[in-house]
Amino acid sequence: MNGRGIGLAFLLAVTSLWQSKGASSGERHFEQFIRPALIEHCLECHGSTKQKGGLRLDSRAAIMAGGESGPVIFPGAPSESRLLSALRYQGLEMPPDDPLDPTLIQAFETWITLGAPWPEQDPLVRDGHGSISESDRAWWAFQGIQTPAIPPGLSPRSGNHPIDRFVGSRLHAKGMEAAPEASPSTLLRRVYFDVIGLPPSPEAIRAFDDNRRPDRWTRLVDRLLADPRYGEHWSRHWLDLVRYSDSDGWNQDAFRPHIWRYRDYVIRALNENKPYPKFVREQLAGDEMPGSDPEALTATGYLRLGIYEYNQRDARGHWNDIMNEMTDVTGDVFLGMSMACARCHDHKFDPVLQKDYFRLRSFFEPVIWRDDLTAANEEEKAAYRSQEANWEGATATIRSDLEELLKPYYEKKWLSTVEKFPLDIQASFHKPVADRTSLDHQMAYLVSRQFLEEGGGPLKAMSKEDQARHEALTARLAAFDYLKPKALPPIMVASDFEGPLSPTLIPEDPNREEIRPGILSVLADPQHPSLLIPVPERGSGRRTALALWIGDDRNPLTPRVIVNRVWQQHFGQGLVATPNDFGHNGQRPSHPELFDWLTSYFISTGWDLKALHRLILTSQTWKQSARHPQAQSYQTLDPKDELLWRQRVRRLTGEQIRDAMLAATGELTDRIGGPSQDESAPCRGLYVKQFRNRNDTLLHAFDLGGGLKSVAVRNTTTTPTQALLMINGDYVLARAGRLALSLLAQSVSDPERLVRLAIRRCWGREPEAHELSASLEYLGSSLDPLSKERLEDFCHVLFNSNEFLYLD
Amino acid sequence: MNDFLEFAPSDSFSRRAFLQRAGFGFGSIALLSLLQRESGWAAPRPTSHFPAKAKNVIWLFMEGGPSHLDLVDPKPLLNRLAGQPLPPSFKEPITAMGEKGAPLLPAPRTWTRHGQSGLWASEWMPNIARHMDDIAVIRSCWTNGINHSGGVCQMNTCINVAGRPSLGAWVHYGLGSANQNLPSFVVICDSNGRPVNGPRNWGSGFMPASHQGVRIHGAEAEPIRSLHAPEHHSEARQAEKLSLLQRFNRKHALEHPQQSELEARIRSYELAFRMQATAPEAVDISRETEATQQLYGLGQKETSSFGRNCLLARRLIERGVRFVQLYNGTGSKWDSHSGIEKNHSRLCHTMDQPIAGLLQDLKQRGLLKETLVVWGGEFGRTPMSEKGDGRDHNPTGFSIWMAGGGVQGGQVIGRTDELGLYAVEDRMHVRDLHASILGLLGLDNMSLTYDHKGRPERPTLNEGRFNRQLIRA
Repeated sequence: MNGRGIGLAFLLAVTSLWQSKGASSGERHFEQFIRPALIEHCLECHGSTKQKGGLRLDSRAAIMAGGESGPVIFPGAPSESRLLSALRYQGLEMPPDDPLDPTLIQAFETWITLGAPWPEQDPLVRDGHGSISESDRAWWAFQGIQTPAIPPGLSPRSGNHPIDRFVGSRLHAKGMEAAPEASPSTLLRRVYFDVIGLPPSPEAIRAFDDNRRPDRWTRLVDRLLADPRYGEHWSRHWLDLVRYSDSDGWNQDAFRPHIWRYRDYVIRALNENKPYPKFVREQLAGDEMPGSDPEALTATGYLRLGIYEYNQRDARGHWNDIMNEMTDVTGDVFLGMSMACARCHDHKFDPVLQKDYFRLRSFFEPVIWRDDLTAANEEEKAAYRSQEANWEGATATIRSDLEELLKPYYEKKWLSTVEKFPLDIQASFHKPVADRTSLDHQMAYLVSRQFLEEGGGPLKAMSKEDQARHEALTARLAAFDYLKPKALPPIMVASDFEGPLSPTLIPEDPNREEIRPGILSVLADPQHPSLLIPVPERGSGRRTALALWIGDDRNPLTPRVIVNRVWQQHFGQGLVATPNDFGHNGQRPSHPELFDWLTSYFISTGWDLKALHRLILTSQTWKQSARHPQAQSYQTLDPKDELLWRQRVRRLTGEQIRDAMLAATGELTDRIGGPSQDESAPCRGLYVKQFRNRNDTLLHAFDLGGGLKSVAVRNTTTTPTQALLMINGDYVLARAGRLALSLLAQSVSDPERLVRLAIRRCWGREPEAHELSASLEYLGSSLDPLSKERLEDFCHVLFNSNEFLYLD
Repeated sequence: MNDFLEFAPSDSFSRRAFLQRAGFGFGSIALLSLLQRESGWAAPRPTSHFPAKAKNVIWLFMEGGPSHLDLVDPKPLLNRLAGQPLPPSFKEPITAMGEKGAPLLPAPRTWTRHGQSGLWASEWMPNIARHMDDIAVIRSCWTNGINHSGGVCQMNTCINVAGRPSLGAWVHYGLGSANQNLPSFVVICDSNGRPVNGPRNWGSGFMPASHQGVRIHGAEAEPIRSLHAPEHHSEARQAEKLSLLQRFNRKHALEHPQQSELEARIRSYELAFRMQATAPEAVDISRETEATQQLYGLGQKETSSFGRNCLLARRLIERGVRFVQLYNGTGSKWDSHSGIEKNHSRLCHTMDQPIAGLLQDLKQRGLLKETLVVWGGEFGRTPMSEKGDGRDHNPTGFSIWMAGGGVQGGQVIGRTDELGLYAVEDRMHVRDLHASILGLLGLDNMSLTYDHKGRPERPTLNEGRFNRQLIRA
């Protein structure tokens, strides 16, 4: 079959996978408004534990039965229904603390008018019984993406920008207004940190100030999005999501010298603005893509990011953990569905069956780890091979002598390595590759890594004479090094086992039923619940099928999840506040229409991330100030802080704090990518070696992701430990010293100019009069040699200041 | 996460989310009550689920896996069958080092019954043995971690794979802090070594970093990293800097009303400075009498290092530190694959008098009843020999003992088989041990939850049981 034919066959099959709308509009209404409201506001007093007034509201039967004082609803007759009058605070006042939002009360009225529809699956909390109901399918996140009409402009501030119109109409309904636009210097600092993760340089500030073109903002946004540092900054969020780390994570926590190539792939993919589905597919199944793009292969480093250690005797259990974790992360990152609960049982709250979990895992069943591939293209590989042939020709005798010498020692080490494993693992290892199943091969791989990485190689056990011979031979071999080709760039990647695949089984399933790859039941057409797997040029095609399904325009989860992530990074909180959980335990979208509109816009641009950034960054909603004259009263109107009437004040991330200090001192190197560096290197925080077993660096103190689990929102802690590190720690003190030196190097003798320069570098603006006078007073009147220390301290204060640490 | 006012008490999601994500560090309670005063916002106080027996925990972690067979779980049959292979009636275990068919190794100990309870202890712990009436020995522990990394990880976090919060972090999350000027969860390693897995052992997993343990270097001038400014920075210089900083920050906060996080950061600097004053006093053991120091074995070469840490642990819990973990044999020193006699006799000596001193000191100060002392490693050791004169890891049956904190002393819980290989009666998994430690602190392991990615995470992974035999009267 050729590649084209496969694609067609696959597309035909996938068309039927998207469920037709099953639920009635009444049931959707129930799912969208009534179920969550009952759970959130009513069940505490009228549920299974408490029934105040003898009333239960957790099933249709219970609601219809009413309470001590009779029925509470009459389907079809809202005006007769006491539930509604209580919600309106007419007579009874429910919920007692605060009335519901008027739109929600309206939704109850509509619901009763519709006849109080309640999906056939009665209880409010899911019964896990191995099946999916219509009400499960009616959950908001599983609905097809709509393109709602953009609301009319209701206030002059909402302008013509679609985002502002949607946000403005919600605010208008509440009698609220957005904050005014932030000052140019605030906006400049904000947009720099938001897009490239670094502060604007004094030159950039001046250039922006001097620019009087009407389109200076859009030009700036475009310029920043085209800046390669955009990919550096945004890769950090992606690396948090996929739990990237530079180390293995068990006791040895061994450094992974080549994994940075995956990190650099992410940076390049973002800078090249790859359509998101392509980005997804390269990571999940780049090895199976047609052609031989080393970039796509490098992307499969995604399948290598989990925790691992060679020195594990229980190889089977270790691999099982690795596969489960790969499954969990994939659900989290791409689908925004927390799958892990379903590993042991059907999900308690979401329609994720245990079978669904293992269907997802089954896509990964054939994965084998590859350490023998390189990031070279065909041409480079050919050149390498021809040069290598020369070297091999010249060294054939020496190498065969060496081989002969080492053979018995290697054999001994193999023997002692393999013997450490349980018998079944030994058996897998001893099978010839042709006779192995995928599991055999995976086990054999783990055994081989033990051989390769365990210390005390064959040389240690060598006799004196053999050691001498070995030395002589290697010296002779080295003489030919000038012929040896330069090693091709090594990568940590994965591909599929080409032989028979071991079945995916649910642990302790007495029937040992093989679980085939398949998508979430709740998203599948009940008539055609499984995926057709394409047959690619190499590999099983399973992961390709998964990637194509995840990146399909009709997948309701994928585009919503990524749009929400982008929004979150620009506003400090997503439209869905729980970005890795779009299920029942997560939050619902604060602006459902805007969310759908944005998602549909995103798909219409071909999943263009930079277009989405651009749209957001040119809205007044994003550009508004973090200060609002009505802040105090608005906070009571919007207790959840979700209506977007002001921007949020955000603390910089650990990397941003570190990078901003290095930028201010002028130390920051501008090299993009490359191997990870030691903490002391003046590179961006992104490039500092991250070890999974460490948690005690400055970056960690400021809430680094850690690389152990998918992190979709970093914690934001405020601790005395941070204060101690900032005010006493060597690193920050040294940066203050460097800043002082670099200021003095400007050979400015006027203290006022020094203060202005320092504040511009740290706060991205000119000092106000009182700040200037306080600073000058602190520095003293002249800059004699003694007060260099004073200048250093002044710089140190700036690094510790809230204006430096926060973005507004 | 900007403002406390946004988290009205009725809005449980946001409030919970705030407390979880913003997770103010030690001193959090003080900070919250401060902001509560200023904003009128009522902070939920961490509360226990049932009456607490213990207020503090001192966990004596014998890293590497001490041999239960040579300390508290005598097996006469082992000595009788010494030199023979494991009888076929025993299921063949997976061993870490994979040595197959190794003969049984005798435990040439002198066993004595102690106290009124008559609990057995070997000659390797003569001083602790005097406290057997205060000690409950759990002989039926088991774990999944077969190697050090998995075992130590599991003993700290309930699971052998990295990523979950440690027990100390859960306790801090559940009970908050009792001293705003000191960390609530402290770790001290002997010999300044690095334990297996490193700081991950006291990490906070998916919870905010403010719940993680803080390592204290008790023997150094700066017990907490960056506690002090460099020497050439005089106090006056530091004070002047701080004053300018607060001046800038106050102004900035005024311009951003309704942004309490800014206020909180200002306070965090004040707390940091209070800590600078408090922490050195807390770890200054020169304030202890000569007699007390003697009690802990200070002044003797072999015992002074761990004795010092035990004494520090007492000083810390006295000052409201809730959870102190002391590593003995940091870096898998108890791991005795060969030469167990030499290894264990030496290590037992380093810990025996210090621990006995700690128990006695706690008792005479009336602190033992509210302080739970836990002793144990990540697993035990096999009855089979390894390399002739050592023992391999035994995760399937081993002993841990507890004292104080409401624990009924002088009792044995559970049993291993006749050779001490498998736990066979009243088996307690690590999850049960954690559930019991939490239970003694008044926390129900199933009610203590932390919402993470839509999942109510529990400290013991939805399993584990508080073994109330520990507190039976």
